[in-house]
Amino acid sequence: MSFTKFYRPQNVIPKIIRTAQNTIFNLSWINSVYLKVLVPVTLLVLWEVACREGFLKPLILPAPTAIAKAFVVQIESGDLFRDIGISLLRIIQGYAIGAFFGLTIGILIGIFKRIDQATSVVLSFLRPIPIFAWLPVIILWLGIDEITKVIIIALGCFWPILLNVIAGIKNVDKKYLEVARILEKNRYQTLIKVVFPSALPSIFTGLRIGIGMAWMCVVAAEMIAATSGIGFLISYSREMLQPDVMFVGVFSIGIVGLIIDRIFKLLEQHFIKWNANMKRQ
Amino acid sequence: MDTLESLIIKNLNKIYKAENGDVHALKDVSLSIKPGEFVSIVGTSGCGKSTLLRLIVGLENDYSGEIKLGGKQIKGPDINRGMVFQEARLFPWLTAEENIAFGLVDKKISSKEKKRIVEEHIELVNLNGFAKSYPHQLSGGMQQRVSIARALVNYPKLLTLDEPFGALDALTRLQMQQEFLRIWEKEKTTVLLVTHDVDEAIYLADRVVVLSSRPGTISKIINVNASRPRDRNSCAFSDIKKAIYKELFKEDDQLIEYII
Repeated sequence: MSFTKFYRPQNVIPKIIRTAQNTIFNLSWINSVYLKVLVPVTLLVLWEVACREGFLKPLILPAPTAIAKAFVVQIESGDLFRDIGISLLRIIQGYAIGAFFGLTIGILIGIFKRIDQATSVVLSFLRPIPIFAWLPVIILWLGIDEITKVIIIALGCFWPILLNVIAGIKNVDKKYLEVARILEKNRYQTLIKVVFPSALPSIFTGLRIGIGMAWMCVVAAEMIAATSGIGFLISYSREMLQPDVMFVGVFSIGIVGLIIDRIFKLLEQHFIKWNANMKRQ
Repeated sequence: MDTLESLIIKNLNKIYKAENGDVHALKDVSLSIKPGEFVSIVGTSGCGKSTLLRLIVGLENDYSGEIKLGGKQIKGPDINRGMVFQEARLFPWLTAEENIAFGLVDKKISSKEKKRIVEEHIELVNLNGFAKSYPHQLSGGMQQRVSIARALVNYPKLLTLDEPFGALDALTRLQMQQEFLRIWEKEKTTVLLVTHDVDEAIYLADRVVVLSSRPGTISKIINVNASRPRDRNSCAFSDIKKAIYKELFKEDDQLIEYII
């Protein structure tokens, strides 16, 4: 009995070494939450030290503490929230228009083969054109009013929503359709009970990518044609040589974007409870 | 029994048109099934047994010959003919009871009546307590139970099953065969089961139809007279099994020896 035990490979390595190996290579003792925080904190500390030691000029990249101070000033004065509010309002308007058209046209194209064929050339011609290429065109037509920004946002979120709605509806599993056929469901019932539910995850993906696009578009539009909003705050503080305020603007976009994405994820989980793939993430 | 009617297939031919020549999937298939009868079809893969089922339920219409249920030629799907697939094909966005109720949606009966029928069928397939579960929360065997219940809610005259237990593990498969027998004895509907499991065919059916491949033709129909539940180890069972294997491998030079 001791003979076989002796020849087991792991017993060849002394116990002390084995324990040491386990503690070094097995990182389970670090809580995953700490692990997530560890990297950003290290980066911030390095950044701060680099600024204090003079490796980085404050005019190019201010220290994290300087940006934090500017953040507090901006919040206290109410300027930051005012600008974020203005940008958000534009997003809501543009997104509502873009999502409305993206959903409607997408559903029509997904369901009716004739509409799909009729629009395919026009859509595949328009799709590769970047949104920002339209910006001068729209300024020429509509000036630099609110409507310009709203239309740019609407255009930006229209495409991802449209494409994902079409893909979701077209990719419905043929096997599910056969079940509906065998149970003698009519076209309408099949659409409502089978096609739309199965397209829902894809539609939500489109809506989420769309809101991300909307956020990108509003900032771009505000940098070029606006006197308010978060994009304007960034470009204006560059002109005013206030890099700390500039970074406040840049990071605010990150924070608000993150919050919006979380809200969409929650909505998605609420509406598509059945999607087992999503829960596993 | 008035509500049940015979399925009659006469000189059925099915040809798939392909670029490199036509494929004769079924050739001169004739078969009649009495009301309430349990018939199994066995055959090697690609022999056209699934095609036969798809023609009978009406998922495919392009055929020559006759398929009649209750005297009427079959033209398309009809709730009188139910089907259970190898994969349960449950809608993942609906709970077990909603999946079962899907079969009833556009029926003109009160919602109270619908609820009663669904509850009755949940009980029939022994899924009490799982009505509110989503398909991904159910095991493979349970999913197939839901699928069987969904096919039965319309009280079809004919239930077809396309390798329904093929994707289940060996133990669950045996359990499901027993369960299905219980369900059939209770419902007394006509059943046509396609399988590649010879044991399963003999254990369940009144008659076993052996389909040979390319083109798919009926090479033999074997009656199983033993009373249920059947003993898989009995002599009679082995004899039938031997006869079926002989039929299945008759084109091969040697009969496979280890089958018995």
